[in-house]
Amino acid sequence: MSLRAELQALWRSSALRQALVLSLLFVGILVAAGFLAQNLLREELQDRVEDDLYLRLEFLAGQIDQLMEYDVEDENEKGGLDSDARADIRQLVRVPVSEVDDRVFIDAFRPDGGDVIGALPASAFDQQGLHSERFRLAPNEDRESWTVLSEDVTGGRIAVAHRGAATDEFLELLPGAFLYTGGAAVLLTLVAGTAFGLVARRRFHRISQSLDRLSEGDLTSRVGRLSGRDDLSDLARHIDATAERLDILLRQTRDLATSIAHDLKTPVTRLRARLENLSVELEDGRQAEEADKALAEIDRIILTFESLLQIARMDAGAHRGRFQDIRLADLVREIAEAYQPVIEDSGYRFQLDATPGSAMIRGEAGLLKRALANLIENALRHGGGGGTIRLFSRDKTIGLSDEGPGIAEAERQHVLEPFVRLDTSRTGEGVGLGLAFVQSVAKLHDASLYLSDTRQETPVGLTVTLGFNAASQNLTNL
Amino acid sequence: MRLLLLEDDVEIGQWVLDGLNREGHVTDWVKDGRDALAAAMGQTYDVVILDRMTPELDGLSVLKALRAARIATPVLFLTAMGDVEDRVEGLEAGGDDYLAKPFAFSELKARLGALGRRHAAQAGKVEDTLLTGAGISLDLLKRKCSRNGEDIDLNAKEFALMEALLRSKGRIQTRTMLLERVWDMNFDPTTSVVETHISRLRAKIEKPFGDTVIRTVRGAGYVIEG
Repeated sequence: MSLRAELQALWRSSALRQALVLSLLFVGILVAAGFLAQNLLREELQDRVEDDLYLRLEFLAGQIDQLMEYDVEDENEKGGLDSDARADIRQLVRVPVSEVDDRVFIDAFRPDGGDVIGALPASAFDQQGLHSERFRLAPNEDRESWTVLSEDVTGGRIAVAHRGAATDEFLELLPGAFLYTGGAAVLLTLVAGTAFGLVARRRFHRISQSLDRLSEGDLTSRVGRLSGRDDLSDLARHIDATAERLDILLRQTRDLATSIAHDLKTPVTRLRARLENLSVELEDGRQAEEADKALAEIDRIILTFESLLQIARMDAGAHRGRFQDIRLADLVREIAEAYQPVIEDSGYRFQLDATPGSAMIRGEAGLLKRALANLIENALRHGGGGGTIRLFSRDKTIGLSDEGPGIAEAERQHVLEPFVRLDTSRTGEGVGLGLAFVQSVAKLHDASLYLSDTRQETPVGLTVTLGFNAASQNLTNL
Repeated sequence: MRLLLLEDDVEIGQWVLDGLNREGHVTDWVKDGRDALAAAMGQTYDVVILDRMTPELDGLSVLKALRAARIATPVLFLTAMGDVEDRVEGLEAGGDDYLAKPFAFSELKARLGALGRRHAAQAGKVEDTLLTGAGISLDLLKRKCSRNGEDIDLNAKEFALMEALLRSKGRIQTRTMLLERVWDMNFDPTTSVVETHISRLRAKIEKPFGDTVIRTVRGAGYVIEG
């Protein structure tokens, strides 16, 4: 098998497809989980930041209250702060006031009517309560996102801020972690899927090969034991059990056919023997004629019987073991030699189209000849009494066409069944097995059987075509 | 001829036996395969007739045992197993002819005649290249046919038909024997293939001379009298 075909077969493997679907599902779940985890984590971190901010604010407010009390007692002034207090506060809010787990907190105080003491910009004091804001601490730095808590206290307003970037950085780790573990998981699933696919394909291949052989009529074919105990090996066991059962049934049927052959043939042989004795004893005359007619009838019964048995055996795949190389053109020519005088004496024109091309097939020459003879005899019987009967072989097809009434398209499938006669008034010769026999010969040779009009413009005649290796042929209008 | 018949059905066996005796043959009749093998090993027969589905030992095994023992007596199968495959199997195992039941006694008679004759002819004789009879001579090397010195133009199948009839001069050739020998067809066509070819052949070898060469035997076949 070529690499391309191997890959295509692998692509069709259900295990690999399952692996692909599962890994897609897995990626989906991973993305959703990551998203959820990130949000939950963000909220949790934010809560902690807020709690920290409130703690800091409370602490700072307490400190500043004390300072202010002292300041008021001392100076009894309102509004302004003396330089000592200012220094104390600056000490209190020096930058960075705190770094916890890489997180940066900054505190600042703005006395009523005064400038900000501490590192935060004035804008941080504009809004009371908890809010977020983007600003930069120094002119040469980038603007960053901050969470700011700002509350009024005696003599001014406090702001505590927490730099958002720290938590964001922490959060940024998450997608990366998910990406690596996810990617590795998907990769592993695919590798495992491909491996399972290959193994499963091999096992499926064994099963389908065995099924192919079974459908070809080789009922001795078995899948055998597949490694492992799973649904596939169960399936294989079931198939083998079914094949075993079929084999037994078919053998019983075949034995039945053989015993019918024996049990019926013996009395028919006796009957024929008595009739033949009678015919010989009667010498000539009317009674002898009757005896001969009876002999002819019994021979017809025997012929029908033989055809049925033959069809049964062909359908069971017998003969395959004896196939030989056959040149189709030769086969057609031999039959033409035998039948040309018969056809012409029956009032038809005969035409042989056997292109000298030497298409060879594997087959049973006797059965193929008999199939062609059946077609010719059918045409003689139903060919309308005139016109051309044409026997042909071209490439890997052989067939026969007549110019009789033909068969309506809707009934074509029907006539391939045994004992079907379209014209029920036709009580003459023929056992109604002709086309069914041809059909069985075709099946045995893996050939396709086509029925078509001989001329399409004014549907006339019947053309029967046997196509060997029929897949590559276009046979609708030969 | 001295014949051995293996047939387990009493009525058919009796019928065949009577018929063969009427024909002047001496026939030993056995009803199971073991007896058949013992008889065929112990005595000399001109032809052995074997049924295939027989008690103790089937006919095919009897034949195989005979051939393994280098006994070359011609064997004719007379059996209900009439399938193409059975036939090929029987012939490949060393059988000389195969006749499926139900059969016409005339058919059996004709085939036995051919077998016994063939066997006798094979005993050291070179095959003829010139066949003659009823004023007709058939040159097998030059593929030429003439009657009373006058050339007759025959096509390939007509020649083959003439050859088959002349080879068995004086003995009846049945329709099925001719179908097998001339057209290699091992089935019975429902149309008159043989009759039509015979009448075409007659038109060439009889009509211009105004007499009969090929005689039709009712219910049996055709014969050229010597």
